Amino acid sequence: MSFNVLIVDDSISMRSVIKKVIGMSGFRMDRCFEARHGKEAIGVLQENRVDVIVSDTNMPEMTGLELLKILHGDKRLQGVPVIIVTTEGTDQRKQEAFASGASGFVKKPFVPEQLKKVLQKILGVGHHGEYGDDRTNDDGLDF
Amino acid sequence: MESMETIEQMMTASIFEVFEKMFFISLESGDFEKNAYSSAAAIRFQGSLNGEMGLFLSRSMARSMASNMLCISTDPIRDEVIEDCTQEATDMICGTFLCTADPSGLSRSSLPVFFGDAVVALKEGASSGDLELRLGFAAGMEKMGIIIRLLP
Repeated sequence: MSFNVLIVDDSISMRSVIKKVIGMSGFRMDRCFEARHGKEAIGVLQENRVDVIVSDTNMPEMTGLELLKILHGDKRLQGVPVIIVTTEGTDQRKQEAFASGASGFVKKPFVPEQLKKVLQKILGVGHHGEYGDDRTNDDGLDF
Repeated sequence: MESMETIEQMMTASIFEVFEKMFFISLESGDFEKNAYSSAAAIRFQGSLNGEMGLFLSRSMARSMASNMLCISTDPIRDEVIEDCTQEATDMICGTFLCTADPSGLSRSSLPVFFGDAVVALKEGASSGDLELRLGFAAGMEKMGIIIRLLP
């Protein structure tokens, strides 16, 4: 099973890092779209099918939380999981993100394994990128 | 507000975390060497804590950061990439610092601004009443420095 990913971040370097991490995580990435901010992301989503969004919060034009609220109000897009990857890592920010509809949260700076684990949880794939009914994490615990 | 000694510890820990996790660079504490830096990026924050932070980099440090972060050869790396990495580093250091210094999450940071000439950034001087901290670090001959100013 392959996935279409949308990476939303105003930093071209960070978009490149996230793309590499996803590629190295064993997921079969079909298409990888990129956007510099939430407004651009909306444009991408209107034209393309996306299976997961990885988004920063602090961006020009439209922030990640503003993007989340728009997605939440759109019947076609509200089911697309959004992983927030942000420098704003306090508990309050995390709660705000989940309350706005985020499915996952990773604080910058991060090691690749942190993003990989969140992707595995959300996309429901195992170690080797294969979709399976018995979803387990690396420790072999069911969730 | 925390003492400047505590602020220094928090900032140092934030810098080490960002440089090790994202740039794979181990730093050693040293002196802030204003003549060693060629570029800088600055960021403001406001809320429970108000102030600004500047990240200063030698040319070789900036190139190593970009090269390590993106897993690319050091030669050549486009200036736009180095600029972007510098801004991203500034954002991450400030964000990590604020997570520790203001766990309430009430402080928000601006988007970082890049200065191609560190001298220009250094001229943005402190006003009386500001608390300023200058820290220097190095990885071999590669240098970086931080200025953090807390506004009253």
